[in-house]
Amino acid sequence: MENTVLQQFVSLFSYSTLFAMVSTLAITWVALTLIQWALETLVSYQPRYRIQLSQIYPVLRVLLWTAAIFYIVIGILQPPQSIIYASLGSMGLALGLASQDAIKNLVAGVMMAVSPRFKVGDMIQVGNHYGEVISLNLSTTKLKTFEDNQVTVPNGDILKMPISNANSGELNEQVSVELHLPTSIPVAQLKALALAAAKCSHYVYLKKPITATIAPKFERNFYYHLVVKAYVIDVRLEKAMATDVAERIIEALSEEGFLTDTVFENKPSPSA
Amino acid sequence: MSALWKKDEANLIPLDQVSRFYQSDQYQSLDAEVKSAFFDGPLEGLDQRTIDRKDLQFMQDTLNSWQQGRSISCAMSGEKGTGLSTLFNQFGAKLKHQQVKHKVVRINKRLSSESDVIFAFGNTLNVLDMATELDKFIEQLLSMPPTVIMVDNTHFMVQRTLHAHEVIDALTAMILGTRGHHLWIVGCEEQAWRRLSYSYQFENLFSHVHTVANFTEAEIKSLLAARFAYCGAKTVNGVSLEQLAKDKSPLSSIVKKSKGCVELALFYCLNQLTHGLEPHSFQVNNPQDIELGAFKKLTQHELFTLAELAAHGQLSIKEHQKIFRTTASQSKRLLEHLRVIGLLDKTDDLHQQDAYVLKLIISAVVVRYLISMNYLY
Repeated sequence: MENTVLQQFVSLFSYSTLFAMVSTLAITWVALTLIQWALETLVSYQPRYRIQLSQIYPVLRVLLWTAAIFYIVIGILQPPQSIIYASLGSMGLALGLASQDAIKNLVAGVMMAVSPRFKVGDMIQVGNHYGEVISLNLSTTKLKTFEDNQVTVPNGDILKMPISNANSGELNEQVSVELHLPTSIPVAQLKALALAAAKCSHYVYLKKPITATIAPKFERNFYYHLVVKAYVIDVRLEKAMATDVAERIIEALSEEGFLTDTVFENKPSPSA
Repeated sequence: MSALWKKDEANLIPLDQVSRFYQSDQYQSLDAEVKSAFFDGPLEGLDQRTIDRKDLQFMQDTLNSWQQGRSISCAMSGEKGTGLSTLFNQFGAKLKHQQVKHKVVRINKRLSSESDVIFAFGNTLNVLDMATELDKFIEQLLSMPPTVIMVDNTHFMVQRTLHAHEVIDALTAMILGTRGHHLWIVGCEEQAWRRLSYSYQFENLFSHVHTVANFTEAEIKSLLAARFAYCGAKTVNGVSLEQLAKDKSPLSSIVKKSKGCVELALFYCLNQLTHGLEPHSFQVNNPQDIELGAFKKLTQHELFTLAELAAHGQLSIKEHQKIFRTTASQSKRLLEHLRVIGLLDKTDDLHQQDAYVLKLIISAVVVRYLISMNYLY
């Protein structure tokens, strides 16, 4: 029985079927390369649609490879049902035993393609890593951090972890700028100056609201904790905007004679 | 692979050559009538070089409503070069004919404080013993007979500086305080209008907001026919002027290439214009595209500069310095670089020494590019 199945299996592979299989795989690869090139070219002409265009490729890749494999099995090899069941059974067992994690990541990748929690171009926080999603493969997700590091996270892990998505498919995202300021500054003037200074930054996306909150805090001395929230024009400019806004607020306060001694920190908010 | 559909560079007009065209021998050799016919600045109301546009009807409807006692104010925005100033002049001529009292406040320098606003408006509206306080100035405006006040070049009110809101607050107070008594029609370049609306909710101030669209192909054909008629042409490429404005016009390729931008159409015409063999006849060749490869080499800082220039209308070195927190020499170097590659012009305005503006001919192209690159929104 086993010999018969094996013989039937071997008989499926002739020179012509092998050639057809290799051709199908090659055509799929070329098609995907062309699609990727076309999308990258489109992005270079229309950067404002970067995120929308970037999310097309991961889905197309899954679909095209699935279609190619389906075509090879059903259209080229055309195995009898007994072979299909036997192959699936043994392949499943072998793969399941040998590569549990890889299969887990692959399944997670397919689940993420079907129901995405983030897209290529989004700024996400996974564990201790915060950065822009630069690629979404079937088994891994790659992030580029502001320190210019590339972080690869297995998709299986991503499904288990809470994800904080800062822009959810949009180019702009909210950024928080936090400053610790002396309580000698009149609150109303501080708030007005902070809002006006944030509006002056060319990185700020003026179409969305800018807010400023001030709370008194105590840590050895009383101080004001100023939080200015504004949207950055492009997620990639998040740090530049945070720095620019903080500097502009400090300059404005200095110009008005309010600032003598300031300790400040700015921290981008991971939540949109 | 991209080279496959790259246009033949030999057939493109280099960007810097566009700037030099008006100093070139080719342009200088043209007759004064031709130069005057294809003038690309604002024109007076009854000028033969203008055409009637549907936006004039909107202005007339607004006037009628105001005359019927409705308390309204209106804003008109349009891309740079859509002819807002010419529209105001045309409407002014109509008002004169209808004997309606009107004034055009043409702002010609950046207003940076409340007193600047009072002075600019008080001067044009001939307010006697002009008050220095806004409330009193508004009372003075109310004591004037009802007037149609058209405000042109509102882009001079845009500024990305700390106390910029003072200027907008002053204009807002003036419009709100006198609305109904006077009819305010405020004209603003599209990008400046968006900036004012996003930053100060400026659009909420107006009961009517109207966007002046780019010229349609038919309008550009009519306009070019009017310009040829102005310089005494009888035929263009052997076709009569009546036929020029029709579908199968020899100017079709110019109209298509200019994409609704009048300055570009006028430039293409002049650049390809030669006298025909017959008297009063002209020959216009197919236009060459402008080479815009320079955009791709621009840095992020330069693109941000172009975006702010589009929103502000024009920028002096000092203003650029304030917006981008750079030194005077850094700002000058950057603006001069953009001017040398042909994207900017330097204004010879007495009030704004060393002020830079987007080159009018290509400003629509630059703005569209900046929008696609997400520097403008």
